Amino acid sequence: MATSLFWLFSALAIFAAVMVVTSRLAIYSILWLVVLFFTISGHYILMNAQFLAIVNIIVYAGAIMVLFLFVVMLMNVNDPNDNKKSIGLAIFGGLATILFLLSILNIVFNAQHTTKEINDLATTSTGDIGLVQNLGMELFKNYVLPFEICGVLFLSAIIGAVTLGKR
Amino acid sequence: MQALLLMLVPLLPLIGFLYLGISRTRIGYTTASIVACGTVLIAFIISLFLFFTINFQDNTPLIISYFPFIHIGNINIDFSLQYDALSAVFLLIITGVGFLIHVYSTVYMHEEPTPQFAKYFSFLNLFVFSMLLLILGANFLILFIGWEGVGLCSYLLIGFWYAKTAYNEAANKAFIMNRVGDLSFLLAIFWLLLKLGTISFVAISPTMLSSTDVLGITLLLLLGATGKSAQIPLLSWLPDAMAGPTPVSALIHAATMVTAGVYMITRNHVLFSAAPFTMNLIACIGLLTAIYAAVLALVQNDIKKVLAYSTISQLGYMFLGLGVYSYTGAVFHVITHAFFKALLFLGAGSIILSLHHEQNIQNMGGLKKKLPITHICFLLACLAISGIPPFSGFFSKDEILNATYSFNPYYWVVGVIGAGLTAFYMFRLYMLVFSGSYRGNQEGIKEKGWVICLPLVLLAVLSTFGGWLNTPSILMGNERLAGFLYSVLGKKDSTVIDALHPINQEYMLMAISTIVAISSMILAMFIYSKPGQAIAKRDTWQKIVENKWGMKNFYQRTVQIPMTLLSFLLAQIIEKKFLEGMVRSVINASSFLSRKIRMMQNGQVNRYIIYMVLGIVLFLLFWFLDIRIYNSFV
Amino acid sequence: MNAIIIASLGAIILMLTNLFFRKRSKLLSVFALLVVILLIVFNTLEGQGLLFFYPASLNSAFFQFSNFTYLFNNVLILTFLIYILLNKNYLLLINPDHSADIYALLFFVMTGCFLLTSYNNLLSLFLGIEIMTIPLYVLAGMDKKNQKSNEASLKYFLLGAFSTCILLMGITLLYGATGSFALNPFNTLNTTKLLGQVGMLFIFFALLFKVGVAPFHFWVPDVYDGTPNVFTAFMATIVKVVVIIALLNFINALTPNCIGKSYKTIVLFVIISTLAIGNFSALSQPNVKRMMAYSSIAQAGFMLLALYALNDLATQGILIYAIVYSLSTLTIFAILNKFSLATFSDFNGLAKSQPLMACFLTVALLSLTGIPLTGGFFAKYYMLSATFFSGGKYALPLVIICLIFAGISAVYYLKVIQAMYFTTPPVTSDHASITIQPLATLEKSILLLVVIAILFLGIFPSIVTQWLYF
Repeated sequence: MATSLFWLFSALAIFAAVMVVTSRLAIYSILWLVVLFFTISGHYILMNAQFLAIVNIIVYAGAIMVLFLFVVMLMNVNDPNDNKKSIGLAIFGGLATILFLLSILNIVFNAQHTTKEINDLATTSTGDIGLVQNLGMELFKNYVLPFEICGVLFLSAIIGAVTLGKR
Repeated sequence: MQALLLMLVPLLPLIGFLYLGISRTRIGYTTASIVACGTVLIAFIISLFLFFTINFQDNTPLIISYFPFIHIGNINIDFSLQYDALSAVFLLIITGVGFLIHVYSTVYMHEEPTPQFAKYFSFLNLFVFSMLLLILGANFLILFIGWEGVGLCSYLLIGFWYAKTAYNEAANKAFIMNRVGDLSFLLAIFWLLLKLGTISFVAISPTMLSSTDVLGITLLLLLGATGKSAQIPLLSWLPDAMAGPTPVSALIHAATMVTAGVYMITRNHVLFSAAPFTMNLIACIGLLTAIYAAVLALVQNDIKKVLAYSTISQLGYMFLGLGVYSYTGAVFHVITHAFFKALLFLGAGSIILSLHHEQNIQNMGGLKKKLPITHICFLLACLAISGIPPFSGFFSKDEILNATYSFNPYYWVVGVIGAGLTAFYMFRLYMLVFSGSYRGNQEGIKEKGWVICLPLVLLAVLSTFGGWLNTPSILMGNERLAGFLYSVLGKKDSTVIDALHPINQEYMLMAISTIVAISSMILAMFIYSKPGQAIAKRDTWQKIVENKWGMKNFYQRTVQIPMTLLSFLLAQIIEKKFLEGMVRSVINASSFLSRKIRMMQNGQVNRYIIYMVLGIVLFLLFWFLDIRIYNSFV
Repeated sequence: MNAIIIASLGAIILMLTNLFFRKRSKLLSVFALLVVILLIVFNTLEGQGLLFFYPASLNSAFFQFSNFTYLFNNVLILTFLIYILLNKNYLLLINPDHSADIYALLFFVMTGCFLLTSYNNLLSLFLGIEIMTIPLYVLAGMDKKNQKSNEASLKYFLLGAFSTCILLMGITLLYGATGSFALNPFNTLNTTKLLGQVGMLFIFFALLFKVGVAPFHFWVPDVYDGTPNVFTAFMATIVKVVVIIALLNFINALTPNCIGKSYKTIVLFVIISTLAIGNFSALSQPNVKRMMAYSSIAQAGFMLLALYALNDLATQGILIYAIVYSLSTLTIFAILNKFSLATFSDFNGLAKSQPLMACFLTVALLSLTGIPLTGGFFAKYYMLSATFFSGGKYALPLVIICLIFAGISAVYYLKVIQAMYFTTPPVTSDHASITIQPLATLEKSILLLVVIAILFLGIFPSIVTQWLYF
């Protein structure tokens, strides 16, 4: 069951990602991105990380994507003729993408062939570390310092956003 | 006490530089002159005091460490100064000749407005400071700091009259060509540091190095020396450097800075003596440069250009002396050359000043009567540089040539030909400037007062009698300089020569070189004393071709035409096309690259990202490939 | 730890001063200076073992403080102090409505910098990088009425986001290979684990992007050019230097076995291409600010030699290089502030009209060139000798190439000096639009001190490095 779900989510995720890039209309891209986030959340649930799955949907698929949609609609960038790219750029970009993909694939296959424990680490589907209670304990005990520093980071980002946004 | 005094010697000009540099807009001519000359004079007096109070005969040099410079692990480099016989000699030349030239400059530069005047002297003081640092440094690092410092001052002073673009270009050329030499010098320093862990002169000995190391280090040092001393292949900056004020040419580009290469090699003679190939190369470079520059000097019409090429040629002789292991001879020639070349340049400066900045010798002539003091001094200097006994140049050049003969007789033949050429072009210059009738159109030419003449006279006395410093024993001298430098340079070099060939042979060599010098001197006087100065005007290439069928006299056909052709070849083809072309092609290549790289920077973000991803991917592929190859071997 | 906490607290308090201070209040800079002085005092005290904030056992898992950290933090704070003193008037002018916010953002950047000098964990590395760069994106676009400034901000943000992706991906891969964010367990990593190695490389590339070296340098000229002068000075000095230290910490934490010989080849390539691109491009720039952008790329190339050498000499060298480079660059930018436009011809005859300014600029430029008796000479000397002693068959060619490029760099630095001293300004009246403001008394005295420091380091370089061993 879990395995077949894993493959389903994975295939859907890759398909959605390809559609995000290839869609001519910005609105479609964003909608496909929402699909992508849902499949990722599915993966999180498979890994027993419910909190992360919910937060992913609320924050990314919910808040951020809605913001994106608003921006796209307000700026009216829907004309598919606008984002025509030059052939040279496309070839260059395609080449870079393919080579990058090959490199990443090389790493993955190499890891599978050489070491066993990496597989174990990468595909944990059990354990309860992803549950809200455990995550909270971890976050506010062992990781309290980075957590606080994150606060500083967000504060600085807020100040920046306000400064830029205010006339 | 000694430590303090020794420190004061370079410190005083530095103080002068700082004072003049900071307050140049507020002070007048008198203050600037007094500060500039005073600091150098006090430095000179201290040098004299040290010279007479310190006993040089014990073999340990006086090394004073002031503060630590770089202390890392087992590398310890201190800021330390070294005072021994060799530095003492150079110290006296720099502060002594330097002082005279400072005094001379106070009149020569008097036409400048005050801030410029003070700026000039601040640069000159900075130069003296850097040069003293170069001479007194007890390790390569301090020497190198001085080495770069004099290069910078040279740059600043060549471009002093910056209103002309050509002068700026000359300054840039000098600086950049010197940087090429500096580069290899720095590499040699690293190499030494790597192999020995120390770069202080007393600790360097070839026994701790393999022969490849010695060869590599000495070759790199040699390239550095050729840059500073304007030898082949890095010589073309010096003639252009004549764009600077004439006293600067006298001090920096004749008497002191350009001899830094000779000093550096002498300072490391232990190292160089262990590399016979390098020594041979030094001799060859010196010989080639001496001849090459002498030939070019034959056809120059700018009085300062003649002297510039002559300087290069004389530096070639110094290198020849080094190459044939006659270190004393080389240092001796540095000393006498400092006297007579400074004199020649100051004399030229006096002429230029009197003629309101006219430098073309075709427009001179007949100045014998108008500038009597300059004339006498200039004549003495010409005699000295031509190697006519008993003037100073004779003794120093003869010592080098003698050593050359015992090293390789063929080198000696070339060297003697060069000496003949020297006498020829110097007397060509002399005749064109002083004899005959005046060809220019300036009125009221007269000497510019005692401040100009006094340094001339003092230097003339030194150029005349400077040879007595190291009169060879066969002329009833006692070789004082060799004895004095004994503690640094070790066993007297010429004893080797004495053993190799008998005394009467030495007399014979001396006689031959004297005869060659005197005869070419007379030849020059004969050719250039024709009435109407027709020949003088015909110096240029076109005129020679025109008059080919005239066959006016024998000498012109046999000597002048081939020489002019050769000079033309060297000047136009080798110098312009080859050496200049090399520099130019580097510049062109870099501006081409610059344009290409700028095209990538087109301001489009998506393109930047693609370039970056490609960069990452290429690095990754390289990494995979490297590991694959590595694994297949293990 | 003191520095991090005080800097972030200072930022928050400065942000709140908006409520109390009038616009363009001089009190703001006084307040900022006060915080900086507190920073110095507390950082030094912590270096002497006096801790005020100590989150008990959590500390060492995320941060590690050594002598070098405290020393380098002090260097940063002092540089920041000089920066504020030199630019305080311009910081108030750039966007008068937000001057308190500007100070707050600057202090946030400093917080990020302190995180980066002391991180011991990939999490803290990431947080440090982000806290440092997010305010910078904003600062780059602070001159809102200027199109170029807006463009610079957006470009910086887009390209920065890209590099953050790379950084996160690298961290993920490393986590996948080791199961930990800490830097120490990487010791167990060996050459066969490609996953970890590629993770390491990705982090390395992302940090190289932040330094701005080839082939990740593309943002530097555009962003530096568009950003207001005051913030360019900040980015080109403190930020750049900190990231190089972060890189050095990162590489030093890995085992030699992990970085291997391929690493050195990659660094070699990065250094050479950086030097080539930086120097060759700088040669043909008509504008001094853009020339400085390329020159900073080239200088970063020199600093990367520390990553090639990876020995004690390199650690000392990078310290001296960072100080000298920052001081020289700050001097140059403080003077560029005075120009409305900064093409080379604007510098013509500056030595006549503003002799003191020309003198300061000359020392700074000579120091960047690496002329002896300025600190720049020893900075380059340390880096080159470190490289030379690191061994390997590429060390010598690398040193030679670096020296050649140092020679080329002399050409464009001297061009400015030449314009100032050796060229007369045009006398035509229509050039009156080019106005050069004189230096204020405070700026004069600060610049004088800075220049003296540069020259002092050219004579006693070991003064700085000795502090490492206290």
